[in-house]
Amino acid sequence: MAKGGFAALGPFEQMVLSAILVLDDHAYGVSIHEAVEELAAPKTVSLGPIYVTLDRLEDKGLIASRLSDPTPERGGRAKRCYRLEAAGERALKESIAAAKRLHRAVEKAWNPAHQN
Amino acid sequence: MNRQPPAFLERLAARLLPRASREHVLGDLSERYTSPARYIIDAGRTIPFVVGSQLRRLAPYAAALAARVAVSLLGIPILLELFRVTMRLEPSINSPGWFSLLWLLCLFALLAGKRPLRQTEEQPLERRIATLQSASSNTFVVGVFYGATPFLQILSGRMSGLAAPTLDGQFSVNLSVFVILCLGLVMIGVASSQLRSLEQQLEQA
Repeated sequence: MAKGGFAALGPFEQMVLSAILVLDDHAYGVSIHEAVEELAAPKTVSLGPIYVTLDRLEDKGLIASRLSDPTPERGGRAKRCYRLEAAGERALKESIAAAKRLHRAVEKAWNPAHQN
Repeated sequence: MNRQPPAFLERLAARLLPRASREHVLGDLSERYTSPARYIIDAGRTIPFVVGSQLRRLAPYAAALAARVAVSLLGIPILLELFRVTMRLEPSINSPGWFSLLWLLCLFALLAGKRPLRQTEEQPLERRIATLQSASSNTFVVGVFYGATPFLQILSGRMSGLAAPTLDGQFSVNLSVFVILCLGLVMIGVASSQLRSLEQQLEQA
């Protein structure tokens, strides 16, 4: 955990957490992968790193998972559905706030005329 | 009707995947299925990551078990040395028992300074104490068996009507080595079964 009690998130972790937040109740391996591919465009992302990141985020206590009922379109296999935990939401908010601060600082440096 | 991947490809993927991730990863691969070639590419780009992630998740448990077995085995030369000192059998400062004791103390110091690998709510200090308690009890059991060996030899000698072997005789050494090897094998067996049960617990979690 970083100072202040928030988990420091990498860019890929931020994307996976954002995907889970957007997908809400429909967040599972394939749907998260599709959402992350959209966020990471034009880069392509394979399914493997998504599972690694999901495992890591779960170990950090930022997300939780449960197995859903099996469905015939998946060969009768269950989905592992993910949802954000309170700590995950806090970490994501902190990451967004940090990104905004960074954005403002860079804007100031590039456009000094816009400073107050 | 949905297309399903060939059964033999699914069976192969299922064999390669860890049990904890098998169900949902196979389901995801099945959902993305368009052709056998695509399935092989998908599986090839997914399974190594899933296996690696599962190994990383098990690493703290495996390390704790390895430390437990190492500490237990290191206890044997120390007990041997104590036994030699107690029985006035050539105690020597150069014997392996003292090196073992020194290494054991170093190991404890290393473990004491080690940070937990996983950021969980568990209390790392409590977990470390539990590991040391378990290691101590293992060592104690080994010590009881080892300490009892010469008396068992004398008892078996008396019961069979043969002359009781001396404590420093070749018979004593052979039997002791045999007992130590057996106990080592038992401990490795126990450690691997503990690892399996931990894996099952992780699956259920």
